[in-house]
Amino acid sequence: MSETTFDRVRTVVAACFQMPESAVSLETSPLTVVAWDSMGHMTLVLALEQEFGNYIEPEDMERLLSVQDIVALLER
Amino acid sequence: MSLIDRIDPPLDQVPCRPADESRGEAIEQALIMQDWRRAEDLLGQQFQARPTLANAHLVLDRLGRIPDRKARATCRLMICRSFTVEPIVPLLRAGAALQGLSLTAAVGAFNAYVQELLDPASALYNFRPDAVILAVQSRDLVPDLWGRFLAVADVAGAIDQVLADMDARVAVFRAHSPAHLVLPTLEQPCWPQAGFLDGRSELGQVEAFGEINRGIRQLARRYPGVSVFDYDALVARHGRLTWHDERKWLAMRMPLAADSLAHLAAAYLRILVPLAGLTAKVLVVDLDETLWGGVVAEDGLAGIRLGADHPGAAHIALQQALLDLHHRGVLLAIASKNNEADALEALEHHPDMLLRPHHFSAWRINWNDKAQSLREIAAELNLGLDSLAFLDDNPAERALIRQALPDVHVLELPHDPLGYAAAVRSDAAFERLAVTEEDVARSRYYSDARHRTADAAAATTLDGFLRSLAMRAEIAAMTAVTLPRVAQLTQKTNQFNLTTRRYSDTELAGLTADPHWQAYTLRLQDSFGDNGLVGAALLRFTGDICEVDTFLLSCRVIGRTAETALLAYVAGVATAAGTRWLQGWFCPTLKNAPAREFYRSHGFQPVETRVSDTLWRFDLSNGTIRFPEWITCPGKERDS
Repeated sequence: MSETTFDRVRTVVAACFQMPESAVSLETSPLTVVAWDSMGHMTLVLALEQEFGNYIEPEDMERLLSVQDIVALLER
Repeated sequence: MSLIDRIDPPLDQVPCRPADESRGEAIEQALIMQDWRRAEDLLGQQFQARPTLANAHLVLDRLGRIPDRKARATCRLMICRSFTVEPIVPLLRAGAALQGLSLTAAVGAFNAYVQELLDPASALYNFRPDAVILAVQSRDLVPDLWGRFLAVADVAGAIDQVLADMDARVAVFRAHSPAHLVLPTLEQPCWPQAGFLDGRSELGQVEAFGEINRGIRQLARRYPGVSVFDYDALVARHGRLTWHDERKWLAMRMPLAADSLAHLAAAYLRILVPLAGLTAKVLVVDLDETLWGGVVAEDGLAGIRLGADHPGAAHIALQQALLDLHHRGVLLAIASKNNEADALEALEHHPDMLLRPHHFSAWRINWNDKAQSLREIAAELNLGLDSLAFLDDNPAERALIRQALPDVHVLELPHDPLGYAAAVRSDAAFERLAVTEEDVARSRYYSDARHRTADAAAATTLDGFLRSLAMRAEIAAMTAVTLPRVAQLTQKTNQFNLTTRRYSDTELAGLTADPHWQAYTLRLQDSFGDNGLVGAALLRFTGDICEVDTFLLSCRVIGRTAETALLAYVAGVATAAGTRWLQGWFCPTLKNAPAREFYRSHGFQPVETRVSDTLWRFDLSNGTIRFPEWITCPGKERDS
């Protein structure tokens, strides 16, 4: 079974913010997750870099406002 | 693929996804079946294969589901730091948990490590750590030697200064805490600034860093309970070119590349694990295909592969590593399924054998089950099974021992024997910190008399440090140019923020158009450079009262009395305006604990509470707020 980008992002987001994977959707964002503050955001970006092997530029980091944004960036 | 890649493939080449998935399912299955041992083994494999942040959280979460899982040791760790280090913490905690260490980790205030070390009342000492790691880098500690070397007039003087400062801080720390202190060596720059010519000078950049690091090692030897973490060697080992992430450093003070985090965490654990006493006293090794290539019973003495050439060289390297452990005080033992006579003959007579029978404290060379052999070895040496480590090339034997004897530390080996020596050298279980003698020395050292004199020294050196920062504050009324930055600060500042009221540009402009409102900004420069606009205060004047609606400071400059400077300035403004009372609410949030004691520490009195918020008030006719003497402020208004 091959995982979609969203599946892999969901796993990382769920792990970093200690949520069940079922609670993570494309709409999940810093507004809906308490732990997703600026430090949480940086940690998430590092975790995504480790998972996907892609480098995420600081300029792009600022524009990642939801899981949907993350999936879009990684699929670019 | 190069040889190095075969031994230790870089993270992005590990074919991990399918293995991860099926292992992930196996972990869930094991948890459902309550096979805790298997779940823990699989989690360990998962994290070892890919020590990522996501896996760290997975490990911590799943281990937390295992009932009655007791740690073999605990440790309270404080990391005092000059850069962003929080992302390391889950990696540290997961790696520690998998090795039986329950780690409670706290991170000090950003770049406040000097203040925290020098101030006996700081959060560092209140935390009562067992271990303190100083996470500082060259760029922060010695910025001139790091980035402006050719402009440094007195390199030797600069080296002496940084070592003297460090010595003073360690002395204060040692007098106020029994915790183990870990000092880093400073990392060399990637390219010496003089290029090739650096090596031609008397004291070039490379040598200067070498001198500093030599001084740090000497310093650590002068105090009990202080060890050196060779950060420079770690960076070099993994590659200076890829260790740092310049863009994230510039954007958010995060200097480490994502792939470096796991290496740093593992390196810290190589100190914390032995510090907690979780060392292996005995390493039990297999013989065939481990200590030598081939099978002695089949190939005979002459046929086993051991020597200077490939493939025997890998086994020589492993034997050398084991010999080094022996000299460190680790006992060696053998558990081998073999004819004892053949095996001992090889050990005794093979010309290239580095290890001889006398290096081994015990052996079981027979055809019995290895778990039984290990139990017998432990009994013979009068040690618990948790003092044993096990080295065997055969994954089936390793799995058997993990299952049968969960207390034994089983080393994971790569497929290629060329990686065996490194697996032994990098294992925390064999590190020794010589803690025991130092425990004794430390309790002698930590005495009341020294505590009293050190207090006086501490005050001077903390003041001295603040003075040495040569801080220059520009406090002025907010302008249309600085308004957007102030709005941004109100939106982003969480830690040193008394009321956490968020304002947009338009809202701020609207407020300050009202004559009852005034806004002030603080710009701070110091010996390291210009920190920019880092503080703001919004004031509302009503009759006799000047109320502080908003008072905040960027976390970059917390802990240096800059907040006192801004408050003193505000008090001056209020006094000049003829108001009597200076007051402000403190609204506690999850994040603004650093600001909790602010008003109290400046002599304000609590006058009202509303749910969890407190209103603090200062009588300007009856007191002063002193502007810190080590901060210069052109055109400041002195308190009355």
